[in-house]
Amino acid sequence: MTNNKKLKKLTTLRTVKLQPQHQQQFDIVFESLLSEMDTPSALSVVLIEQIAECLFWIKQHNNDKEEIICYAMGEELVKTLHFLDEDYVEAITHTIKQILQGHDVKATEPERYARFEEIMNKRDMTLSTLRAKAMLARMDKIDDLDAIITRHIQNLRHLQKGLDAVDIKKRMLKRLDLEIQQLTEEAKQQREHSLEPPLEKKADAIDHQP
Amino acid sequence: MLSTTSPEQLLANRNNAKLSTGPKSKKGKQTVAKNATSHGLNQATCYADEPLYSPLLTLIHQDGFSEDDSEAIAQALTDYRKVMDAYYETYMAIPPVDSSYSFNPLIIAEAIYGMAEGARDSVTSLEIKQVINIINSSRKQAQKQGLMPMRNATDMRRFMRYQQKAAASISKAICHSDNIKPPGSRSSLPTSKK
Repeated sequence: MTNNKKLKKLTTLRTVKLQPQHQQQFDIVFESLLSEMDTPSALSVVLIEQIAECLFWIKQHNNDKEEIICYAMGEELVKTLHFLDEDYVEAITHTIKQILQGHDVKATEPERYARFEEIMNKRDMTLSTLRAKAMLARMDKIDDLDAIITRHIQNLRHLQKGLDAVDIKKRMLKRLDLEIQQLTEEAKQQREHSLEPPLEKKADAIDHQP
Repeated sequence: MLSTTSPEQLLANRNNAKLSTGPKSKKGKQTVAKNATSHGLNQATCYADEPLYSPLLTLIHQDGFSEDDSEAIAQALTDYRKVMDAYYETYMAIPPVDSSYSFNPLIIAEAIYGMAEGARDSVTSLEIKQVINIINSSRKQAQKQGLMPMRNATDMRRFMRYQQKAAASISKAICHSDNIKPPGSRSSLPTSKK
């Protein structure tokens, strides 16, 4: 199938509609999955779209999970405050996120990094101990998200099973076509063969004559 | 702000509300009919009204599936889309945490004192305590719920059983259609009777 035909099918069968900030991310996954198929049928395209959506959600909820952990790490650090100063928690969370992502905060924002390091030293904590504490504190939410992610994986399995079944039907038809072709050729050869034997027999008869 | 409605007025308002016969216009009736609906996934689907159903049915039928099988698959896919659309809508509709909950209660108390300076009736310390308590409990609630992703985690769990049902019905509808059986459920060669 040519690319144009694939794109035509894409435009007519759009079932997943997301907001622009998510649509682009979804389209990349969808198009890469679609490019792996040789000749996708209409149903296959719809199923691939649902699978791409599952993958999108798994990624999205994983990001949510990471965000929760980062925020909880920030919360753990400013725990002594008797009220929830969200701005402060968010500033700390931002620093933690940047450090976890491998940014050189020490060089780019030395003041903020110094403040962060000061609090960490005061609490006698490392990033890994802080992460462990944060995960324990927000375990209920992380569990919820894990259950949701597992659900999406199971949804994906169901959809994959459907896609495999559609593919098997196609493959079976292709196999039957090939078998018919092979049988036709065999029959043709046999017919040709059946016309030749009398001559061979005759020749044989001559050869075996004493 | 503290309520200025007297208990008598409150009672009269409630009695008057009981006399109401509800909305009269067709649009109003349609609106109140959806009052208790949060996502509508428990309602039976009228497939003819679903915009996705008929194009799906046509396309699946064109793929070579029989009429009954096409219907079953299109229905399962429509149901699945309904669940996933509601899921996305809920995910996007969760409001961010109200920043007023992060204020220090002492600052709020000072603000109330300041506001009360020019007012005719002075605010008593008991009333200020009540306001602080209300704000404090909301703050604690917000703190417990956490930021948006944390709220998402709790809110999205209720969709799990709908997703399970919808996704399973898709694979069931496809695998049980003519010529398609799940791999391993039957062999391609007929078995001889012993």
